[in-house]
Amino acid sequence: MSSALANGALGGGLIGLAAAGFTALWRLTGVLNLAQGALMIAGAYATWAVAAALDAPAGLLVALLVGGLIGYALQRGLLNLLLGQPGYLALAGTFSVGLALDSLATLLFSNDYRVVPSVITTTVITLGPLHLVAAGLVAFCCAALATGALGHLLRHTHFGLALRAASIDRDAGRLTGLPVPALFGVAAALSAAAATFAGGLLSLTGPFTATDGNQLLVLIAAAAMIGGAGRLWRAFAAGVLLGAIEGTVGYLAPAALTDALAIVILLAALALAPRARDALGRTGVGGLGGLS
Amino acid sequence: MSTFVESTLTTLCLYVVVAQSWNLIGGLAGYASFGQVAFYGVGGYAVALLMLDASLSFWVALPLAALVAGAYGLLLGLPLLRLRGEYFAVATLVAAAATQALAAWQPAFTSQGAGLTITTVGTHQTTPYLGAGGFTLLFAGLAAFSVGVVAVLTHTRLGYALRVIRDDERLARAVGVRAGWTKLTAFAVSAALAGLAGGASAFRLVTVTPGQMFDPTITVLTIAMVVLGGAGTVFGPVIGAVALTALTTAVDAVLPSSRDLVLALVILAAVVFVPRGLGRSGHMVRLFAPLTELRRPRQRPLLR
Amino acid sequence: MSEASSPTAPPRLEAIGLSCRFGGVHALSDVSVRVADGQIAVLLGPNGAGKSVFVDVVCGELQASAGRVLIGGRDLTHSPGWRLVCHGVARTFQVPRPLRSCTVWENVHGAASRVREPNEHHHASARGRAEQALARVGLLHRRDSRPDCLSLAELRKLELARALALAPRLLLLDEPMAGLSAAEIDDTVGLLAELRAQGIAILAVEHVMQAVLAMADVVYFLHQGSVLRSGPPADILADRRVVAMYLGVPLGAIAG
Repeated sequence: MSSALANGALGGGLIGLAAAGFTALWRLTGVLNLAQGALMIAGAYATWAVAAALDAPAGLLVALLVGGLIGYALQRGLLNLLLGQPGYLALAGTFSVGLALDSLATLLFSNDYRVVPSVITTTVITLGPLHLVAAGLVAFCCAALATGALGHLLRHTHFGLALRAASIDRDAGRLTGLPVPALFGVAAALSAAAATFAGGLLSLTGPFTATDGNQLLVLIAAAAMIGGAGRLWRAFAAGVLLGAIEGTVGYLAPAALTDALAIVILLAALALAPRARDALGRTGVGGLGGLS
Repeated sequence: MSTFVESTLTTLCLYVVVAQSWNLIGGLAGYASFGQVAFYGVGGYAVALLMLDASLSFWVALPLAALVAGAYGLLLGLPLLRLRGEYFAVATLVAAAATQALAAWQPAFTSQGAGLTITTVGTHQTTPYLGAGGFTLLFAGLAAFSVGVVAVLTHTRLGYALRVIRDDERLARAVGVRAGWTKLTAFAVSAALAGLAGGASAFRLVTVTPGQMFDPTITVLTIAMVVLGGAGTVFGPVIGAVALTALTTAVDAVLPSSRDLVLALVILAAVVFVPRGLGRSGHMVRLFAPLTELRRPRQRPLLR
Repeated sequence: MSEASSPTAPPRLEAIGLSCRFGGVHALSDVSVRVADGQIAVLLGPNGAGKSVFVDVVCGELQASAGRVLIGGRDLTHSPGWRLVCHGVARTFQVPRPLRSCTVWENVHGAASRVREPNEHHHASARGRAEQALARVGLLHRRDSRPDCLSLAELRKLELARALALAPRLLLLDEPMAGLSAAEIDDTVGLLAELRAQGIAILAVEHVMQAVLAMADVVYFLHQGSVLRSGPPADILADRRVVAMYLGVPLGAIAG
């Protein structure tokens, strides 16, 4: 039971990383990227393909690269055009990008489960009463480090400052000489890279398939919503929490109930949390405080 | 009429019903629901269960399914309609996923996700299967009904109240609009319409599975139709439904394996090029606006 | 109007000891205001005195932390804002808030259809009231325009027309003349005087002195959330304390 909880939490770290990327883009540009789940799967396939030819670390690197490219293209080609339009257009747009990625993956790789064979996949580490899957532990650490790096980049670097300035007031940013569209593009690239990297880690810890994207998206969005006010580590922690709940419930109840329960908890949190209600009528760009 | 024409017309009318259902809450009230498929699925399962377990006639089960879906809309709307904008969108998306997961889990509903089959032959059938022509008529009736509901609501007190909520929710109190109650009503009616569509589809499909009845793609397809046709208008969603029916039919005939991919690309094009919909005037201007906007930052001298 | 003339009739608006707090800040403390039918009362005071907060509290937009609001003798302190409209309370906003996606006519007609008057065919009466309201403020010729095409003066007229379409017995106006030209102010003053003659009670927040002097029956001078003085406009403006507050100079700087 406690092992199930711990392993669930480790798996939740991957959701947490993707959710941190999701939150970063949300806070900086006001867009919820509903392709985040599909991006995770894309990263998983990239890692899987490269790992088969070379090795796993190279696969992760390629996953990062793929995510960055897709994210930049998504922002410059779609989301920048939709700034100032009703929010649901951007949501519908990103969702259909996710749909396109999913169906591309299905066309290319069919619906079979894939897994990257590796030595650490099956190793189990025993820590007191806990039996932890080694691959999960390694992936969790990578995810936590990546989240920290993303947070540091946005909070403490010159680039992060420029990005936050541009997001607070696009026009003022443009007038002070910031290349706002390109900055937003880089923000989206970072956010998507977080997702593909998390997907790459996912492919190293267990089997995945082309149609997992939607389920991942729901968990990512859930973690980002619970994380709320914009701090990346909060989204990460919420991902870990969701993973732990899933792990525990999955141990006690039939598998399909797991998702339902985690999601019901989310809905309750969302409906009751005062923070969510504070966001009433506010656009995404409003609640920037957390990132600074 | 050939079977092909009949099935295409049926699809078209089904699309009109779900598009109008979304239009009511997303277009008129400005609350973009990304979980509309939940009500479609609930309606479908309600019809299947009422016909199987309660041995009701389809003609009794369908209105009851609409009521069940409407009640489910009330239940979800109570907490969710307090959220706005993207919070509401994502909360409904998640709620739909939760509904699907519950349907897949509940053994009585779905025989563990394998699906339910409505009895349409033999002595246990409650209503004879309608056949292609019958379903075309049924769905045409539902489509006309949904257009009528939206048209009537647009021109009544409720229609004005919904526009107030969409444009400026704080103004609502000053003109005597009960915002919370109005939103909830619209959401419940919208859910009931989606439930009608789902219920009729369930009978048409005979076998219902959670993966099919709660497919999130249905929601996005719906939103694409409304965006393409013009959100908040009475006939925009009809135009959008015609366009997407033509498209899906063509793609199914030519490239059935990449249906989702083509669909996604078309939704993207709709979102970028006709964000205000074909049903509104001046769309040709909009059609080229994004292209000029693309270049504007480069043309505009920056203060450096 | 017969109600107004009878001595026993309650005033249209009676606020008794209203207070409103935001955290530790007292936006209003113990404010009492009376407006009778057929009377124009003006709230005067420097920025931040709590004038708009008072209007918001009366409308149910903000919750009073103490005190009562009586409308026509009925206690409606904690009623939700939308219900006040049924009791004949209508307001305008300091920054005009039209529905951007609707035409002028839809803005006013929609509001008119929110209230029913007894013994009238609902549909016809809403239409008639909307037309009348637009004609009154002189906006009938722009009925098919979008709010985006209107000037500030026209937007203020639209605000007023929307409020009039609700068939109010009490009008709450938040700076109805800010930003208008002298001629436009005269028009508005004339219109408000007409409405007063019809027996409508009006409470206006106003800074334009020329208008205050021309139309007010009674002035309440607010300072830091409480009523410093009230009375006929001439008396208030003769008060050295008031003038000092208003001009923001020390009391001694104003010659007796």
